Amino acid sequence: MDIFANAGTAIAFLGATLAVGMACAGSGKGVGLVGEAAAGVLSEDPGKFSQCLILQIIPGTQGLYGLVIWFFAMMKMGFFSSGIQLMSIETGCAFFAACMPMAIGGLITAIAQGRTAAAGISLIAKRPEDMSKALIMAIMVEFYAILCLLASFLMLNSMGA
Amino acid sequence: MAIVKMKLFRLIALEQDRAALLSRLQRLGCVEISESEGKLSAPEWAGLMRRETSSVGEVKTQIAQVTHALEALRKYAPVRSGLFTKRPFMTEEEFLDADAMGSALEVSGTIGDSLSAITRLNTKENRLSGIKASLAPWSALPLPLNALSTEHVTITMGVCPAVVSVDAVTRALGETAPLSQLTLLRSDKELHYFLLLCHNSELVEAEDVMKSFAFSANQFKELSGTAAEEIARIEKELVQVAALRKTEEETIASFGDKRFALRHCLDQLNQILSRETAREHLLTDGTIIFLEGWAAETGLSKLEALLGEFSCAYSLEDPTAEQTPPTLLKNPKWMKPINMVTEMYSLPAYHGGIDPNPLIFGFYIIFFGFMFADIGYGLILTLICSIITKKYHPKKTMGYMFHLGIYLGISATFFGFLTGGFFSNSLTIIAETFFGKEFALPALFDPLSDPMLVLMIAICMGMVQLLVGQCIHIYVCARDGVLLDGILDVVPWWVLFAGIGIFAAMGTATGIWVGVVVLVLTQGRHKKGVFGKLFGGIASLYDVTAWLSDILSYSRLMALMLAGTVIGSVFNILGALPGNALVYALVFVIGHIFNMGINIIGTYVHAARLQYLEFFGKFYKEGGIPFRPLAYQTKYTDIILEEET
Repeated sequence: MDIFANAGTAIAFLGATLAVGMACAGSGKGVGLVGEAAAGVLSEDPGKFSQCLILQIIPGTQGLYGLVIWFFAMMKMGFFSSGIQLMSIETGCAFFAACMPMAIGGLITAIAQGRTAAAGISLIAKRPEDMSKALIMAIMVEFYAILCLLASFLMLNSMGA
Repeated sequence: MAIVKMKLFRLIALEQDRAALLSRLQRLGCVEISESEGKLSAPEWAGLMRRETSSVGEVKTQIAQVTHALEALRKYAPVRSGLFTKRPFMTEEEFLDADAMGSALEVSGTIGDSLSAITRLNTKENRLSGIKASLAPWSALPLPLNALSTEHVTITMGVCPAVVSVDAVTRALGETAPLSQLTLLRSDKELHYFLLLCHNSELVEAEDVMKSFAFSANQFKELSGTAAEEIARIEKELVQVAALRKTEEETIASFGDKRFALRHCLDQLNQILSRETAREHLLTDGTIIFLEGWAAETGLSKLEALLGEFSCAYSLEDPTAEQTPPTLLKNPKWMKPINMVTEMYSLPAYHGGIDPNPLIFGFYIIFFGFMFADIGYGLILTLICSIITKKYHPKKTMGYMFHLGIYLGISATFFGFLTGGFFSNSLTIIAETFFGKEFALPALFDPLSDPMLVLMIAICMGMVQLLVGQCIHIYVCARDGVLLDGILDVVPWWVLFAGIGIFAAMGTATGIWVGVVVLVLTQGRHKKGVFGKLFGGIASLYDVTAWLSDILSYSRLMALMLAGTVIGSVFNILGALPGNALVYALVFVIGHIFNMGINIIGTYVHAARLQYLEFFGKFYKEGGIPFRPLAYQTKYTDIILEEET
């Protein structure tokens, strides 16, 4: 029966891992997409570096949100204070489920936001004065990452482990 | 606080007054001169008038020259400048000073000469470096480059590809042309460099052999010295070129203190350009000019006073419904910053539109503050925006942005007091970690422990805004003489909402059914035929989903408020983990700067979105063309206009 006593902890860990791992993978891909587009524009006009940089870091936030959720989940599991407690499979699954919005939402929104920001780069290449529009379109995607963060956070927050 | 009324302005004046008239109109800044192209297609006009000529091209050349001069100064005499540059104030007389413009143009001409000299020197440098590089492999050769051959012997310098074997070449040449001698001077990755000495009697044979090894001769006919001598000479020349270029660069740099004069000149030229562009829109027959455009009603008395000084005939007419006059919004100064939110969407249409600025001003600032609620963040935002506004007095959109920022910061601070957030929960964490005490700012509600309450508040704020939007719709309809339509559009929905309210409170569904019946009876009234009206009414019930999504959309107020608090508090907890004050300070600063940054952008966008989609959807008629009068538009200077006496 020992294996079942430990399985809950493992499942909870898996959830936290996916939250940070998938969100960071998405952010990495998103930031990379924008970087490719930015490098092309910069070869023509190095003066746009700061504008490109701002657009490039935008898809990076999902990774950070993922880390926030990972951190919060680990804290709730007692990783930072009293040491890991063994938990039942039910509790472990609840942790896993709570981490999923951030994992899935983080991965997909970061890539979508990367695409939008990369398109924004080609917009400012032609019309530098429209930087704010490029920014706004990319930020529209951010909202859904924030919703995922909130959902994960509120669920974790309600757990008393 | 309204859309400014426009008059269709037509003017016939004397050609000789043209320059003075345009300058005065520009100074007044309340007339937009429109293209009179359409007039010329009518034969009676085309017979009399032609398009006015202008010197737009000439002015643009001058602008390009001054712009290049400024760029050169930025490159050769750089000064440290912040994100914002201060714009000096000048009186109108100082601004229009023609002598200042003349001398600035002279300076820019001198800078332009230096720039082209630099370009020439760069070309020369490239050419010399190219020759130098091609001579380098031959530097060991102690023979003059152009007088190689003697009476009986032809001497050739040439190269073979590196893949060719030197032994094979030598052997083949020895067999076919024994009176030749091949010397390998040097080899690199790509080529072998050979000196070929050949008796004239065997020249043809030797050349054939060499050709089969892809030998090609290098010729330096114009060079008389040995390769080493020539390289030394070129190096000397390159030093001279560099020195000359440095002199030119110093000449440009010496004009560093003229930077402002050039900027001033650029502003002056741009005023001339806008006058010349306006001139292109005029029609003329040589003695008189014809002008057509829009005049803002706010400046009419001044315009008429001005025109009284010239010999001219003019008319000012109200626009007809078919004409589309440009839109100009008039708001008190403190309310103007909100204009940037309106402009990002679209200006209201001149006919049937309504000035949205006073309507969204309060909502926008409250929504922003609600989502950004934090005392610390709010104070920082207010402080930064106040300093920038005071110190740099930025103009137009930038100015609006920072002015608006002050209001938004105050609003965020206010809501911060309600939620008890100061850099999220930093005070609680600090008290707990470093002093071992429990502490929390007093709060009306805590978003983290009671998110449902926040959601309810958000939804209620949304419903208030939507109802206000509907009331504005009734007002607009009343103003345009279709009050009944306005009431019938809106009131049936209120009956339904009241019914839903009664159902929620008392559980009787009768009210809902009354609402549904009223909607079905009224919403299809514009359709033709009894069935059309009935189906239109039934179809309108589908709008219930639109209402639902509109209302739920306001949940973003709660989501963004919570997100800001959550991320902030995570940074606080993260920083406090090691229990070290220095680490905490570091994490605190970086984390909260990040959180503020991402939240300001997000909150700004979402507060605006609620106005554009949910609120404007209830009453707004967009599509206005911005009013662009002939007026002073400066980039680097601020003109103080004195009232004419």
